Amino acid sequence: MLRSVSSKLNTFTLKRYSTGKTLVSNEIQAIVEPRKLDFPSKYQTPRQVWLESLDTIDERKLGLLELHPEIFATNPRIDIIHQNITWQKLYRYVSYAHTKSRFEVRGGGKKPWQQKGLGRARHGSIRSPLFKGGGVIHGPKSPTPHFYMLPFYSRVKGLTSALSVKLAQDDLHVVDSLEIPTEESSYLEELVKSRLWGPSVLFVDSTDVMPRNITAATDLVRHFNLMPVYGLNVYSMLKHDTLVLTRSAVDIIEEKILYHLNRNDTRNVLAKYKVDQV
Amino acid sequence: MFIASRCRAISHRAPSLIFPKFGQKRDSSFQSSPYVEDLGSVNRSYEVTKDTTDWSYVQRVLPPKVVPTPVKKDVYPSGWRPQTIDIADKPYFIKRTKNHMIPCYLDIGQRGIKRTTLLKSIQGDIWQLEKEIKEFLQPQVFQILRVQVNEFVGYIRINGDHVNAIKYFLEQKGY
Repeated sequence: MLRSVSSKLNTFTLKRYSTGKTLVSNEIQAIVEPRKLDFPSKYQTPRQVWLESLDTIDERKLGLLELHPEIFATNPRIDIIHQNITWQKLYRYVSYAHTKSRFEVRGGGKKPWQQKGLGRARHGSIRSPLFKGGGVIHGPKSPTPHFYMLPFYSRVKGLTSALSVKLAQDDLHVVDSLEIPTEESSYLEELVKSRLWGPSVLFVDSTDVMPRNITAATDLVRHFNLMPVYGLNVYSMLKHDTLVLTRSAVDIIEEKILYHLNRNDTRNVLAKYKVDQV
Repeated sequence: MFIASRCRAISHRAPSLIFPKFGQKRDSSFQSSPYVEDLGSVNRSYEVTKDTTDWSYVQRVLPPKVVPTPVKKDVYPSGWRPQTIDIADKPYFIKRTKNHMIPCYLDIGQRGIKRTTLLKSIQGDIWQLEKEIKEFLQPQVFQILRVQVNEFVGYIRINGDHVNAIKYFLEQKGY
């Protein structure tokens, strides 16, 4: 029944009135998936997205989903996205550049020539930084960690901004599940190609035990990646052309981010990050 | 049971030889006072209940996970007002903070010299709001009001301390 309705859908148009409410005809409302949004926005309307399926190569729409506008339609703060990307690159980066100071370079203990009488500049060591082959002043020392912690709400805003950017650019798709009929990677490659999802795709599911077929199909294709919802991050979202979320992953993302945007006790998350904290 | 087993695990400290059990001790810690079970047989009696009404009293004491929505009243003693805006034909909107307050703040810079008013979380036509704020505030100041509008982030920064004026202006409009 859903198929027949969704095939008709293209003929309908969604009208937008000044009240900000999207008015849809009865038939379309029938396939809008019931979804209760916590902390509903007073001004922004929920963003609608198609619920798709991976079980056929051609795009098949199962219904419409409503997404929370404060997560999927916030200001695309590219500055905060950039802060997140920089942070994700830097916190794991350790610089191994190393130089030796004048006391670590071998030799140089003897005064190279006498202080007076030769007409030459006075020197006390051939490893002085003035000498070729001498030590380096204030040079890099190995290992230098670049770990730091981005403020908590910058991280949360980074996630909402990245999700909003992905949705606005039509690079975010919601599927009912990651079940595919075969474990051939050619099936998934053809599906991605026919739906114009771009070369690289990130599949996000609510659990970290994925269906067998999709794990086998994406195993050897390095631009198709699977990720549990707790691993979702700004860097991976921007690295992949398309983000494919399952419906349950959308629920968890919304629930967690809304909790952090409205939580009562922020004392611990706003406190200074301690390196030894759990 | 739980408390007793815990006490036994901790009570590895040797009892003080100088002071008897109940004597005071300088620089004492909580561990230097005797445990209840050392004083003799203690009768701990409690009952385990699975009554849901009892649990509702416990829940009432627990802090809420998210900021609760305020109880509806006509007038609040603090002077706080809820957002009563009907967004039907409003060109702009100011989202309240999660604590249901108007997001208007005073920024003090340059070692207390520079005072600016920051109004955040503006959605919609920010330029219309800027125009209305200017019309409202301009009669109250001698100089030309300097206002910075950041449409991308959604904030308006006004030179000078106009926090209460802006809050009054927005409350009158129901934001």
